Amino acid sequence: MTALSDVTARATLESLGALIESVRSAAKARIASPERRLDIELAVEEALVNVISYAYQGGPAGDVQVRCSVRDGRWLVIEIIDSGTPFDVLAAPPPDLTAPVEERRTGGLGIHFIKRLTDRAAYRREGGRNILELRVRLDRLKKYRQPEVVRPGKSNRRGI
Amino acid sequence: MTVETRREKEITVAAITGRMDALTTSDVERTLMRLLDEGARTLLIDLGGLDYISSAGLRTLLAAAKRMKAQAGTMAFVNLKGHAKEVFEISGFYSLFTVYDSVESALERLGR
Repeated sequence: MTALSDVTARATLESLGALIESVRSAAKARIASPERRLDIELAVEEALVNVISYAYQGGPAGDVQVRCSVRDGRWLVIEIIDSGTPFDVLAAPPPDLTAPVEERRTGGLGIHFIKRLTDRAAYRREGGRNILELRVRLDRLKKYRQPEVVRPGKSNRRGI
Repeated sequence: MTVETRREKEITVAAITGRMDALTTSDVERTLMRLLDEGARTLLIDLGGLDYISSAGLRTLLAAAKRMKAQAGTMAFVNLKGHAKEVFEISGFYSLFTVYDSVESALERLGR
């Protein structure tokens, strides 16, 4: 494992810029595609906003740690760690992506982005801390988990 | 992040450039709500200069769309590309809203 960055800050919106910047720098060193780096940034923003909004609800804001590393030479690993209420963000119900404007909500979209824009997302509770581990393949240009597009009456020829 | 607005006959065009993230989106929200307060009935949002958008930005756009719908107005998007287009696709916003390829075609269609 190669450590790239490790930043801890108070879990508030004021810290968001610096925390995201640490991931942006780590990604820039390892991932050539600017598009993929934006995807990573989006997944990380959503995860951090989630921690900032909910991890320390009802009490003073604690810390959030963002750790970037390269594992096995093929994964960019981003860990987002807080010591707030136990919460598996990945277990949240999926958002309704089909409701009309009047009924549409954006709750749950952040988690949807995290799942769709990383190659692997895993949650664990360890030593009183929530750890969300996001992994991105270094050897893939794009894309991630593309939805299979199957049209009625036609075979799906996408060889992914 | 900037929002430039202009009128094309009855259509209000708002061009958003830069980023709509958890830190910056409230500025866009203020501008869009002001346009609605001022009575904009047809709002075309140009995202050609939008570099980045997260769910916080989508929330702002949805809030404007809900209000527009409630006051029987029309809201549409134009010039979606790259990252913004991908975010619209993944979030289902692409099929939720009318999206035009160019300002010209949007003005033509919305002006009818």
